[in-house]
Amino acid sequence: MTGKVQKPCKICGKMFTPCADCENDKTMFRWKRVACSPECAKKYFARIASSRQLNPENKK
Amino acid sequence: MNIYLDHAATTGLSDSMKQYLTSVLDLWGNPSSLYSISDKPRQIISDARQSVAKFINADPKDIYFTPSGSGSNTLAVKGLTSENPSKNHYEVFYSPTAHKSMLKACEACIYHTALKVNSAGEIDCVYLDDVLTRHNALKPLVCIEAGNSEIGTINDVVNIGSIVHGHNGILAVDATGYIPSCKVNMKQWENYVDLLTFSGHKLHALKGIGVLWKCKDIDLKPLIYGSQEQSLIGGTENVLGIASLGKAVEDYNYSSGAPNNRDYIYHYIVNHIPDSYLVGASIESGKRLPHNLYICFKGVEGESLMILLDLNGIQVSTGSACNSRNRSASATLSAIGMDEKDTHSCIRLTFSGRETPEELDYVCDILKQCVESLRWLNTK
Repeated sequence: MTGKVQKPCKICGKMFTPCADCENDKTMFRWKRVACSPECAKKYFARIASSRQLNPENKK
Repeated sequence: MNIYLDHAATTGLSDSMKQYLTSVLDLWGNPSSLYSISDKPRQIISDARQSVAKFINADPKDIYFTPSGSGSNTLAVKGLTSENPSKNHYEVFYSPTAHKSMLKACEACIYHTALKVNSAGEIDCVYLDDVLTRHNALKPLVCIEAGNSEIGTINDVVNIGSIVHGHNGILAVDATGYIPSCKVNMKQWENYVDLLTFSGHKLHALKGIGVLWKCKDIDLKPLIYGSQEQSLIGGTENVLGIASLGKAVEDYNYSSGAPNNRDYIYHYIVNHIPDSYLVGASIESGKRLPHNLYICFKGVEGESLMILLDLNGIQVSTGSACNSRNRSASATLSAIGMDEKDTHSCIRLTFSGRETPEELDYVCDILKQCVESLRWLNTK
């Protein structure tokens, strides 16, 4: 595992290793850059959706 | 609202099926034994075989129950080919878009050649004829899928069978993706197809049961040694699974086979969600599975879209179900020459045909919102 980047999940804080493809792809959002699991990814998306509803400016 | 749009991955059990299977649980005798408590389990297997044979218009003697669709595919390929070069009589030619079980079984054979497909995923029949003409040292075994579960393209089984038989070859067809929405009639196909496989849990039966139909002239080596299933698949029979398949095909209804729901969503997408396109055979071609929609949304990660849709009560998949946890692009998308960037931007929706208008409108609305949200996230 030497050289594998680890980062904290934005939801639960657990350290995880995102896939290199996801980290290097700057063309689109990839859930594995921010969350350690699909369950945490769902929570992330729920937070984003809530934040967009609270701030309509974000919908533009 | 919860809307399941991944019927190509698996299907649920009806209430009547659950009631029936509960009654079967009490019939626990070993079907191979000769005493009275084994009579009913043995009868269930016999009845199920009759039902499956009737479902595909075939002789019950040519129907074999296997542990799965993957098991059927493996038996079809490995049952013919040998690992010993001096005893091997076949060269295997296979669809590069076939299910992994067929793909890997073919690639494990000593002599194997991938066929070509066009950008819609159809087998290139000109290339097939040419390659069979050039490779004529061994008898050809050609392995294809009738309908691709992933991108929905239907192959011309009759034409391919004609070509294969014209070269004195054997044609094995995986009908798993095809049979849930397109009726199979072996009386029409038996002059072109030598081996046919499909899976039970795509037809509202239990998981863990598959079918192999075999032409009488074909001799296969066993997949699992034993005496069951005419010694091709040994092991005490999965009576519950077989019972579920027998009932599922008896109750099976092709009346919801029209592509209306698929087309409704498709037309909404092309008219309201920009930078998206259909993957596989076109809607107009008539060569597309009627319940399959495989769409690329440019700039949107398919997995993220799948998760976000699930958050909103809609289940879809990216790639084939078996590939869902695997990061690499599917073999099918690579084989059709799709742009590598786009291969990670696709989702597959597979319908039952029984979705309500309200559900369809909900799907359209949520799909649009989710795609917009993910494209917005790209800007942050």
